[in-house]
Amino acid sequence: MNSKYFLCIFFMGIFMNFLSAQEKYTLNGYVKDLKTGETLIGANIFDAGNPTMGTTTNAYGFYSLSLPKGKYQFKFSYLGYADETLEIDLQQDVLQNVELKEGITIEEVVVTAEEKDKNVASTDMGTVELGMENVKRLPALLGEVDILKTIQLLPGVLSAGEGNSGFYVRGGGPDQNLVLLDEAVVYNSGHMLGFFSVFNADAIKNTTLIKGGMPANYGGRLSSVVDIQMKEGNNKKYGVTGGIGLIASRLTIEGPIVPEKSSFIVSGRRTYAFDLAQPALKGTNFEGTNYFFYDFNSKINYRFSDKDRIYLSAYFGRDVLNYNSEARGFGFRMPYGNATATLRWNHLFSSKLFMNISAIYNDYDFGFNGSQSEFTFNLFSGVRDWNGKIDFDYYASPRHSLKFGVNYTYHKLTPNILNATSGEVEFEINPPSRYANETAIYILDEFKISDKFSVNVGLRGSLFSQVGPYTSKIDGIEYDNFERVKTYTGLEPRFSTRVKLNERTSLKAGLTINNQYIHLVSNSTSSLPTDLWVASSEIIKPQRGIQYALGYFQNLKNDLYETSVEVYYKDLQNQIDYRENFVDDPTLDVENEFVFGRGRAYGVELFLKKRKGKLNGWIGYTLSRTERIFPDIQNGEVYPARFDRTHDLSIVANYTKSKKWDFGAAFVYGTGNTFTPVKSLYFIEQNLNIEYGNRNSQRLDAYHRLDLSATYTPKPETTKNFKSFWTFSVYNVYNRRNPSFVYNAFETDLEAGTGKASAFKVSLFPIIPSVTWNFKWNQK
Amino acid sequence: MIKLRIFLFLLIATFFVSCETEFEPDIVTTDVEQYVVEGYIEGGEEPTPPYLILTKSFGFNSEISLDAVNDLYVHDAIVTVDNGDFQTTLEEVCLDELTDEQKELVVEFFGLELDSIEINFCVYVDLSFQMLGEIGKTYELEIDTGDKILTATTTIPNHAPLDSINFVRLPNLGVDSLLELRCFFNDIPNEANFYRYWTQINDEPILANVSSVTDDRFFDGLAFEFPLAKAEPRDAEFDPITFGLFTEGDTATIKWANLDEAHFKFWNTLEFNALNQGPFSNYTRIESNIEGGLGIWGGYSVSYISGIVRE
Repeated sequence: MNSKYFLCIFFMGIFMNFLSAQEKYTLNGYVKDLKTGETLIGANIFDAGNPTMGTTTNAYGFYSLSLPKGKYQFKFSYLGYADETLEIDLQQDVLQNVELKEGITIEEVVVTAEEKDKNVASTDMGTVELGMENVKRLPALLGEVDILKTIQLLPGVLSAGEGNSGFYVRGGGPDQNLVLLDEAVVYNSGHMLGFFSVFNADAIKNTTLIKGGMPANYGGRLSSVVDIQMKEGNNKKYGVTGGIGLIASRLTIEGPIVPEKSSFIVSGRRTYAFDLAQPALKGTNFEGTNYFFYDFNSKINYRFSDKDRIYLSAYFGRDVLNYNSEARGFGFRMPYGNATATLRWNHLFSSKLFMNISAIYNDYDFGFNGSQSEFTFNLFSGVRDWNGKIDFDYYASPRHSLKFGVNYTYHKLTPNILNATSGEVEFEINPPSRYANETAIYILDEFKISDKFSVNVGLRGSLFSQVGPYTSKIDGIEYDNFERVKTYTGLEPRFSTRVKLNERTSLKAGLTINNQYIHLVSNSTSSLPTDLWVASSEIIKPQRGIQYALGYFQNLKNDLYETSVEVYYKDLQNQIDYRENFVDDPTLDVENEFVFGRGRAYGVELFLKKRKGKLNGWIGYTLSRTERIFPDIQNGEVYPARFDRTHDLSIVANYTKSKKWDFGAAFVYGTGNTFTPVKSLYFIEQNLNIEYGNRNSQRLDAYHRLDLSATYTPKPETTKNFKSFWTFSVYNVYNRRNPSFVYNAFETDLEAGTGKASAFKVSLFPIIPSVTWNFKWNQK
Repeated sequence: MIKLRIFLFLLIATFFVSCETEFEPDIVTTDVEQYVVEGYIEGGEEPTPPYLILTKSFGFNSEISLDAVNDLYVHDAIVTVDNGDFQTTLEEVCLDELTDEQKELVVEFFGLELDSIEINFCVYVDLSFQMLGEIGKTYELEIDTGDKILTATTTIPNHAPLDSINFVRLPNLGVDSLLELRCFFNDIPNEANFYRYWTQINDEPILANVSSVTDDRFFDGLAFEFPLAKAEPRDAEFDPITFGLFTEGDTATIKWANLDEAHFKFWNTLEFNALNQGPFSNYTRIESNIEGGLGIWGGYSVSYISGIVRE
């Protein structure tokens, strides 16, 4: 895009705003849940007489709406909550906090109080907000509610594999998703090789997925943002929620510290499946093995006044695999996981200017400690960030909402550090950590030019420097602490526009350019805890993505149905992969194992959603192609990416039969995953060996599966403090044997001159029923 | 790390009752037949002349017959090896052309049993024994198959032998007759060294382990003790209690070799290729040093160390 033209539109818009900024007053405040005091993110506030004059609450529940003075009927609405209408005479700036009542009866579920035409009216493309209450009604593998698996049911988002919480968005790799938990980057969002995500559903308030036009306030990844907000904790009453499931249990305690001013929440989850399975493992190859994971979330907040509030939130999670063979005197312990901490200060400078300052720490590390008799072996790797950011929301007028801010991150990436001992002898491979500064500055304006036209224009400038201490691999120059080794800059314009064709129909178009400076390269079909994050360096250039998208949005039957068609094309530059002869060895410097190339992805996504009623849900379908071109892979020929999936269909339904019974269903269908076939076999040392054919040139059988769930609340009307309900889930109802991968086995008898080669398809999950008992205790 | 991945996966697959079914894959038909070289020359303790097996790769067939295997051998190629001083031409020798005594020698050399052998095994070898492997020398191979020229180069590097071996009883094993092999070793400092090993029990065939190679990045120049597993055939059942242990009373021989980097990369990628199928690796291509074909032309500097398995 011509940047001069872009800037011209941008500043003209802002200028016009100030010309027209006269005789206006501002309604502002927070929208909260009546019962818990939790702020509501993305709630709608609009003038009932002129619904185009509206706004939504930001990530902290704050809203601001400036209008000419006069009397208005303001409507406050939020998905799943009863509307609130207030008549306000706007003769001065008005601070109005509003509390909405959650709709829990069947009748109220029918009132899905979302801004009716939000789908059509906003400039958002490829953006989906998911409230946890909706997610919890859907079927879940082994009863573990998982936000990342729900995201996979949306068009354009593909699962990384059977039962896996990893995901690919519009042809992007797994490292191209920015997963944020209270603004902290979560580098490894999967437990147990990705079969479960690290996000405990009880601790999460809201999740936003942005797969299309990423606004300028987000950056650092090419494909998507999954922005997860933790609950703040009930600031009115104490409460305990929890659940006991087949593989894990969870407990959450929340309550006020100072009523209405300060609250806390602590939430924990731990698995025990392998603890329970110990007797069954006796006598098998896995005797002496235990595996568990746990998560711990906590958050406190304090509201000093309507203008100032601080939040401190933290997450700590670990997977731990232990193995101990007394017979062989061998054992190991392998802990790995994430830790995050976020300190935030919200300050309201005026009714129009909201500020948030965040100080964030996040860490992912992997460890392996093994021993055999007098031999020991230890391995460690990790990534650690210290991040400071300031973000402003400036609600200039109902036509202009500006966001601007600056973000700085100091990265420390530790490659595999190995040490071992054999008696008195010590071995060590201690490569130096890599350090980098990443800075970004951004501004964006959501500009409603007229009732018909609306644009969201933004510009993000990013600056990334690999810094010392470091010794150059190219010229041997030694760099001191913080001395710049290599600097990259990126100008990342973001643009999306909406043209309303009529009240129920709009066309949208978007252009997104992103740079990515931190990369995860994996040789496996899903992310593993051992995979290393690496930073851009004198050898590794930043990834850069350009996405063009076009969408048609239409609501039908008085907004009962939302439909959309989106097409996209993505050009991905400086993509990274391992060379074809790569051998995964922790003693290697992985930078020397990389090859670089390009990618492209294009597709069309169809979405039909029934927003309300006893029966609601959606159908999403994606037709797409994702390709890679690497000069050093297959002689530069184009090949399908590992996660290229031509057809991907999801049908999701929820049916509320009565106050006692609620049912959920999800059906998925996808073209089979790619794999690289055996081209030929040959003998070496009397064993058969494989020469592989073209990369990803064959496919497994198509994948399809139906999951069902039922939620039973025995006493929905009870007025007692204690309530409980049961969740029954059946994963893979018709026991489809979906192949997850293939492998080949060979038997040879050179003396007899015969052999046998066999190919096997392996499927992981048969039909899996599960039951979870959930409870809730609330102080009266 | 490879084994750890497999362990993790098997653990989870077992837990979730995974299921596998055999299937007939779509057969790749293009560019399937390639020349495959498996040639070696050994220097050190028992130097050998250059010898080489020349075959062709073949498409994925579920059943591989005797006739099909016999057809894999490439006959009448002109194979020459040059060591910088002189060149020798290898002669093709097939089992059916040999006397019984010669057959005995050949099959023993390749770790086969004469009684059960039905295949007409063919090898190109320097029968004059003029060129024996020498440490420090580079050997250039050229093969003219009639329709293609294949070339390769290998070097026989310096050798660092095992200093000594002994066997220890594992106190909690519960099987008194099995012992673990411990080797004492001194790496050559300040140079990149690559190692491969094989084991032989009594007069059984000599076998390379499924993980048989290493480089010295982790122990450059160090003298230390380490356990070494008895080599098992690639398709052997894995028993977590007994794998890699030696039976008391047997005579164990360890063949220990240095190899050059390209040769090491061949075995390293071949073993990774064989062990790392399935969910964890896209694929790894075996890194050959043969220009124009697959396989390996490899030099070894070799030493042998033997001992009776006892504490």
